[in-house]
Amino acid sequence: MLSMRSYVGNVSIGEEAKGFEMKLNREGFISSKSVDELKEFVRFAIEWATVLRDFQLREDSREVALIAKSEFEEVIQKKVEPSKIVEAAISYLESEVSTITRSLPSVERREVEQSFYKATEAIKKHNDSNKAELLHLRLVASTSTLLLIFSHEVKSLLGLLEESKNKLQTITKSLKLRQKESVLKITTSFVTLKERLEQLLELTSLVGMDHRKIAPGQVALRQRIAKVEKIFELITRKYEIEIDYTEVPNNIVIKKILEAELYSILLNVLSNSIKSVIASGKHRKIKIIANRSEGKNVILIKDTGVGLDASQYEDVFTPFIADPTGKLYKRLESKLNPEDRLIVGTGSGLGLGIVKEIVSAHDGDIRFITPDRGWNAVLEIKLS
Amino acid sequence: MSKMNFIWIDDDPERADNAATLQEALEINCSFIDLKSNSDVMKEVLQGEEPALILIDHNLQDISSGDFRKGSTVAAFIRETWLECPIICITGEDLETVDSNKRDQYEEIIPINKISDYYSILQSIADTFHILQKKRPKTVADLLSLIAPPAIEADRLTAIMPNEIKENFTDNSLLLEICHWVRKTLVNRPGFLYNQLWVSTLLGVKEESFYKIAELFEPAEYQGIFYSAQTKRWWKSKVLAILYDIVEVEGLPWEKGRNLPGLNPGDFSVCYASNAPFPETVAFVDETKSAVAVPMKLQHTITHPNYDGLLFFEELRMMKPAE
Repeated sequence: MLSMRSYVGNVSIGEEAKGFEMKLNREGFISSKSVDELKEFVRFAIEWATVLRDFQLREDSREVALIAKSEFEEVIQKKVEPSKIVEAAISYLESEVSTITRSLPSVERREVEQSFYKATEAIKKHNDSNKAELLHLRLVASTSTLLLIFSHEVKSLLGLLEESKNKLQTITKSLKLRQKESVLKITTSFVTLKERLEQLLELTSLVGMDHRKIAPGQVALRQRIAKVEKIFELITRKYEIEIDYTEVPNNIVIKKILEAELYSILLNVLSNSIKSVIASGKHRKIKIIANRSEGKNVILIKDTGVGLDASQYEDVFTPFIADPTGKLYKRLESKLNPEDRLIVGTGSGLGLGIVKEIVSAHDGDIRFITPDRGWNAVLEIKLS
Repeated sequence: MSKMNFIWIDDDPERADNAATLQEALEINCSFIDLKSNSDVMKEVLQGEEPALILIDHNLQDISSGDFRKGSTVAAFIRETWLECPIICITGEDLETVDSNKRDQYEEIIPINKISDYYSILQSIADTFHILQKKRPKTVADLLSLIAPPAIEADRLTAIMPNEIKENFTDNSLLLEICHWVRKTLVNRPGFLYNQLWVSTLLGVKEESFYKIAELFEPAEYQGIFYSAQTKRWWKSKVLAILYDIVEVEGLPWEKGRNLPGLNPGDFSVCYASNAPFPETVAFVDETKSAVAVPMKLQHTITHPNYDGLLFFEELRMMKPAE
């Protein structure tokens, strides 16, 4: 808790409080029920003070923006997409200014038009910059600052692994055959560990990158599924989960998306399916299918997990509602080894919401559909 | 033969271990210069003997003096004295984060986490600069003799050789220009020289099966300056000449290649996008930096937007999305 000082400030413990006994080195308390309760309270306070409060503020401002949008739509007698409201407003102003200035002498008219052009350009550029920033923030939020710090530490570890491996390899030059084989075995395990860490690092680096400097482009789906499958390999092997993506053609390519966004979609969606099939406990299968339909890529993620009631199809995309009926995490708790919880995520309730935001930002669509025979849940994602 | 001298400049004293390991692995002498404890040490270093190669940490945040913050600044400072000494950047950050204008200061950028993958490249750069310094090319013909192309390629190579080289054989930075062109363009870009994926696709064979026929094409292997075992290349024209000598069956190279001895149908390459036989080219799966290159039918590819066309070099392409 000491390390959380900058978040929480000071927690005063009154004289009447019981169960708090300082350690001899004066760094924290001796473990007790009271200390555990205090920790839980502080964690909740942090969560409320940061994430939930931000969410509330965002909802308020979104409501205000929607009112302004509908008032504007009344003026222009036309519906406008929320993402294009600034462009529509500028276009409306342009036509209004053009009408008004028609009666002015040509010199004055040119001056007004030039000033107006400069002002609208400033708004457009500012709006573009905000959009880019929002995109960046969305991606950063999908991981956590801690993950980025951790990835930096992993980089140092990778350097150490590389150096140790190289050193061992030079040592083997002077060893006898048997000893050489033993040492080379160690270097092989170093290389395997290093490769796994590098793959993880590649993803965290992509998410942590400043996306204002990168333009979205074409990203092939199958190659990314293979990488995400590799990330979850430890857990899928341990819980005997089969991930089948043989029905994802090699040439399915998502257009105009950031690589990190596609990874974010796949990581969240697959971790949900993995949790669900572990919780269900039998025939742990996940199947990904992709094809082209009506000019869009249609991706289906099917699983044999605990399933989802049709009445909850919409709710699961609402932030902080990870498990509407509560059955997933209850069952998961009994089936999942506690040490594996972090690998598949602990259910913040943000994952599918983030996925929906990303998909919608690319004019796509995401929804649960009625599963076909043999499957308990099917998530459908449509992307250009 | 006396050992080559390398210098490793860093602000992280712990990297002295890396320098020591490099010294043993390449059987060279590698002096570690710790800029953290003595930022003025560079002046002393430059009064010594010019090394065969210098490695510099790109980020020098931990040094007390305000003179240097980036390895590229140290590189520029070194080049005032040692004009043609190869300088290699060592970095712990993502390669993409090194600014493009700073990249030009270095002959190569190496991630510290993968330094052993670059051992043979470091050796090849040091060896080549040693040769070039002893046998400095004075004409286009001199340089071509160091590249050692098949005779029929000499005219085309001369035509595309940059003017910075052709018209400046007396220039003080000639060797750096040669290094840049040979490594970044001639060897790196498929055209005159092909890597294993390109050469096996040309022959209609899967990359992983190429070892079955590799011996036949040994005479086509690039052996010129900056040759490195880790980045093997083959002269395309020589590969085709060997193929046409061995296989009499009529057809395109990828059709003829299937008749090479020792191959079976499982060795024949297929298009990544369509699974169809006889892919004619190599293309990236998409336009991201991490995209892999794979064999593809030309009809399933489009021009890659991030690469300019170069005369006599292959057009770099990427997979066409499914429609």
